[in-house]
Amino acid sequence: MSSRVIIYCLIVFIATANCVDPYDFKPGETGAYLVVDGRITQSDEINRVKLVMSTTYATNTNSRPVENAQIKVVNSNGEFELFIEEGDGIYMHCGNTLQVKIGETYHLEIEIGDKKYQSIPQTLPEPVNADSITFKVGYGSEINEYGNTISYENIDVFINTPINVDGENSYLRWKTEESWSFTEIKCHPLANPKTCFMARDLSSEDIYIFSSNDISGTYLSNKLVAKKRILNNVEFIEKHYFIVNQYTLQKEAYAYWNKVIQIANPSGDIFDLPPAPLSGNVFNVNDRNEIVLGFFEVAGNSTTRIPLYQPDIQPINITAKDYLCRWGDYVDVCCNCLLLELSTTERPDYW
Amino acid sequence: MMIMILFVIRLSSFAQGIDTLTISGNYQNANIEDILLDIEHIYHIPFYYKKKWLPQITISRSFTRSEFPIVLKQLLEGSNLSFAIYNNQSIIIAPESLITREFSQEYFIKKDLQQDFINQDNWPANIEIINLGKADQTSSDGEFVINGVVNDALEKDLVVGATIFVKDLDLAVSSDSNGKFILKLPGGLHLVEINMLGFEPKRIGVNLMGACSWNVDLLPEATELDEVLVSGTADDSNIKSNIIGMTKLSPVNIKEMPVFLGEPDLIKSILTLPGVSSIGEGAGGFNVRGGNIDQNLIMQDDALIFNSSHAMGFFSVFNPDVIKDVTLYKGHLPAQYGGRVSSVLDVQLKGNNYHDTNVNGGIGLLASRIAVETPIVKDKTSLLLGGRVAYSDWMLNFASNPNVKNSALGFYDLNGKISQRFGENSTIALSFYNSHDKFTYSDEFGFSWDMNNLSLRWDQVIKPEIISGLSLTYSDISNTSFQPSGIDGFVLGNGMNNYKIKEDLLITQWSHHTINAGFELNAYLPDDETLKPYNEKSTTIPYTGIKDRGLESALYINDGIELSSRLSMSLGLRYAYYSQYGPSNVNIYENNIPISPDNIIATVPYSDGEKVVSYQGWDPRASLAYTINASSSIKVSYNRIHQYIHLISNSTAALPIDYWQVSNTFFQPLRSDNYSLGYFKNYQLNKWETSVEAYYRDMENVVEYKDFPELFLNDHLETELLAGMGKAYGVEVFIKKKTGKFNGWLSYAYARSFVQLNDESRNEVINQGEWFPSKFDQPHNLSIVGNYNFDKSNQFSLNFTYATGRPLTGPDANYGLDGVIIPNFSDRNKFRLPDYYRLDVSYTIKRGLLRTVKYKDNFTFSVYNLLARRNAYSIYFKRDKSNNFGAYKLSILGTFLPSVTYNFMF
Repeated sequence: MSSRVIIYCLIVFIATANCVDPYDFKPGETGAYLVVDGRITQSDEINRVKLVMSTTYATNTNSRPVENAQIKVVNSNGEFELFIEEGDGIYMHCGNTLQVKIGETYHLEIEIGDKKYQSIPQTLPEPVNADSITFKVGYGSEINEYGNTISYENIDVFINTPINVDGENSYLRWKTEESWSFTEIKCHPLANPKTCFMARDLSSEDIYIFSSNDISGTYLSNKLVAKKRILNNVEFIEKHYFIVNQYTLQKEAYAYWNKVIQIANPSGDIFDLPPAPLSGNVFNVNDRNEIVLGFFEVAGNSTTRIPLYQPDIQPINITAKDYLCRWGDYVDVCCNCLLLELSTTERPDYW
Repeated sequence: MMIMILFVIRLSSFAQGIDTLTISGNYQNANIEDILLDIEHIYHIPFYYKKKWLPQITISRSFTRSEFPIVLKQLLEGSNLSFAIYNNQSIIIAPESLITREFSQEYFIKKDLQQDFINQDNWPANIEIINLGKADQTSSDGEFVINGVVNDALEKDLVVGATIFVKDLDLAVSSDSNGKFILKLPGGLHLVEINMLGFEPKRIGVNLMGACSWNVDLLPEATELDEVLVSGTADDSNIKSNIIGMTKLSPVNIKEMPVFLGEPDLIKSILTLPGVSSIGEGAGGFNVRGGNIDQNLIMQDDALIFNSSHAMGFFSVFNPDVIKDVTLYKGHLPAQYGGRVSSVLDVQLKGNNYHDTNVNGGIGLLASRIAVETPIVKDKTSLLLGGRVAYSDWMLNFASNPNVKNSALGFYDLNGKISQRFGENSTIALSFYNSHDKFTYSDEFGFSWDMNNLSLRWDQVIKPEIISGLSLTYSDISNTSFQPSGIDGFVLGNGMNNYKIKEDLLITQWSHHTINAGFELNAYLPDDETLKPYNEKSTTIPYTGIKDRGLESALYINDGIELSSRLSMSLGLRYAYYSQYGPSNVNIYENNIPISPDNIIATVPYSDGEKVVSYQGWDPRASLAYTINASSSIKVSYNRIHQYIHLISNSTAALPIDYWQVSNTFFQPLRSDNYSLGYFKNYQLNKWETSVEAYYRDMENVVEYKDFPELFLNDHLETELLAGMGKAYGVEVFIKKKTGKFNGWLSYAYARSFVQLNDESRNEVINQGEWFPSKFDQPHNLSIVGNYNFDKSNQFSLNFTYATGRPLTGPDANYGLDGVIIPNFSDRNKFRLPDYYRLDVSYTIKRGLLRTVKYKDNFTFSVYNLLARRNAYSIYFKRDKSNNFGAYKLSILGTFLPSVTYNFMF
């Protein structure tokens, strides 16, 4: 056997030796659990709580919303405000009677039928205000199901922020959004082109958290908070924003999200820790053994934005609008931008 | 016993002593028998002899008042016969080697000896008879001690595990790791058989006259020994031994197993035994009867081995070329062993070859090894050196994935030993071990660990009935993990150091008793746990965590008692006293609530060397064996064992960066009660060996983990751990064919292992406080090992392993939280991984088989995991690219792995 053949065989063995395969896991029939998903902050962001029932593992069906629940946020003085049901299990806090203030302690009380639930009280921390956002344009790569390496255009979003403010450990979590605009062209002489605005969460399935427990220094630079894979470069024809919400958490909330990362985003290697049931901070007042999932978060919020224009994302090429509207896939959209997914004509305040 | 006279001629009495008698006579062309008959008739002297001994010659002699002894000398001149005067009344004529000048009365003390004396015809023909001891020695009970050594007559090496069987007494012993054995026998004649695999059996008559030493030389077989996968012990040691659950392995057994990438491996070999299992590829250590890997006491030349694996479990730390003897105890533990509740793996190295230089080695695709044994001063000083190195990096360079290309995985280890003889009765040996392992994944993370052992041992025969073994050992392990990149780049380190002194006395002063007594002192001194910035760009805050120190001392006595020819027992008692010492800060928590850093109400500091807490425990050990007949026996045993050190690890398999924690205020010693019952039966003159063993184990203070524990850099580790109860039980079946062209064994175990974590006082429970399967619970384990020898040079081997899938914690629901889909996990270990099975094969071509050929080599072609089974190491749950949640099976080996290894020895 020639040395070339031997080496080829060895390469094949290395490539196939370590394997990850889909596995048909069947846990059997299980009951559904109440899920509490909510957050209040001191910012202008609308505070919402979502109540749903969990789904059976891997069914990927929509979870059943819990309706007609009574939810109120209560402060340390016993003052409270009821949430208003919007539908689909979503309940909104208007802030008319109870303002959310920094340094105040809040908990949630929920009544569903004759069951009562409550969250563990949390104090709203002073938000750490991020300094700035930066981004980096480049190319990422991944291996597809055929084993081929494919590359794609990518933008990484970074935050720069003080930490360990006033000597206090910082526990931070980031949620990033993007928004962009698209303005119609004058498709006919009487047309009045309008501008549409689109917005969506970015990297919503990923969790970005940080603890300054073991870190010295007072500044955190270039912390990755989102990755945007460019699938449709029409989003960058006009102005594009990255908006980063930096939530300052209590230590317990950070610990919860840290555990979520372990069980929701395992690395899939031999170093993974064994998963475990994750209980949140909401419990049945009359039955502590009932499993209640989710977390009600009391966090300080600061928002930072950065606009992007075409020149900012070189070397990624953006299709010229003229070409797009005349011969590309967006001929109809150029005449009616509301055809774009998530579009609205309502201009964001910051635009 | 020697069988003597067949007929007696008794004549009329005589008046004077034989030694002063004078003879007169003239014999012409007379044969010796006729002359003796004539003398008998005339002088009334009874002669005792075997007719066939007398030479068939004629003699012409004249005697005139010649002294009787001179007459006999002249008659027997030229023959191999001699004579002895017995009780001044009769004459015994026999070959010179049989005759002593005077026969001791002790010859005839026991009836059975007299009976055997008469039944000499049952002895093999032409058997050699040797005299041992001095005839002028006496003994109060008529018994004398033989201190023997079994040697390889050609290699001048000691032979370990040879059986010395005294046939007339139905008594057997084995040569120990120094080739030595002790027999206490009545004075007189005995038929002794010495057997050892790979050597020609030896039968010899022993005429024991007094306490003595005895060097037995065995000749190797003319060609390489038959490829048999049997233990290195005697044919029926499984029947006769009073220790249940003990297995001995010889290097020959280990080298013939189909192994990973052609590398002989000790741990892979013991995994084929019933009751011994592992998590699978990628996992270090091994599990015995459902116990954790830290419950095995692993020693090499008496020094502790903290991590028995290299390269994530693919190789063991033991170089097969330097191993002399391996003993695994998994049922009964004699009292001289303690500190771990599941098993003892005792590995002894070579290093007492005082005559010739031997070189062994192997060259493989990913690893190579070499070992050299040589005398420095002949018959006095011996040196052993061995080394191995693994070099996978060159293969990683061919990977297309840049991260894999820039990764590294490898290890090396070194063994050395120097032995010095001081006369016949004293030997001092110094051995060392050093190893280094490293793994890096691109520039993202990596880890490394180092182990060092040093062992100084002094063996001394104080007197024939008392042998002393004093050992001083040092062992350490140090681990490092690192993450180079980012502002939080770090280096995390920990380690453990052990100092041990042990004195063991082997006492055979009293017949039917073999006593081991002694003491042992173990000091556990951990390295501080440290966290440091990886480089100047890192802002990681340095941290130093002081770990607990412990001192474990033990006194023990163990007596192996031969109650009768059928009934034997081993009774032992071990007393251990353990203390934890400062420096330490002990937290005090609020009562009746789960302990956490938030409910510390006080912290008590302890200074360096100050005692923090102590524990003591009595460990009774008992094992009883009843030999039903020559081919079957029943054994039963009970052990209590305390364990004072635990491995802290919460990954699927133990990682190199896991660390050792001694018992302290919160982690009380693990206590285990072990019960075993077994029936052992051999067939066709020990050609087939079978056994059925049942066991039950009860444990207290089993260390388990809360959900999501933070085990590293934690000043209050007690808030992350739980102490629970454990139980394990099972039945093990073992069938072995030891000889023939086709041979091998089958082992099956039904084994369960459960844990209960229910600390009601602190409201700390897992799985509602109910019993649940431990992570090593695998109800069915099957191992089939087979060899087919086409001829002396060609051997085919296979190894098939099957095990029930290990327990798994899996999700039973999904839910969304702030855009993230999260699985909700069920009770711990509620589900199971897919079953594990694997088939390995190998083909070996040997050369240089003749005993006279010095250079021997072989090629081994092997395929690991021939069926290319993708056995699950773990199953994890995460989102795919479409954000749908799914389960994925991680397999360490996804294909078959062929290899070629060239092994040599000269």
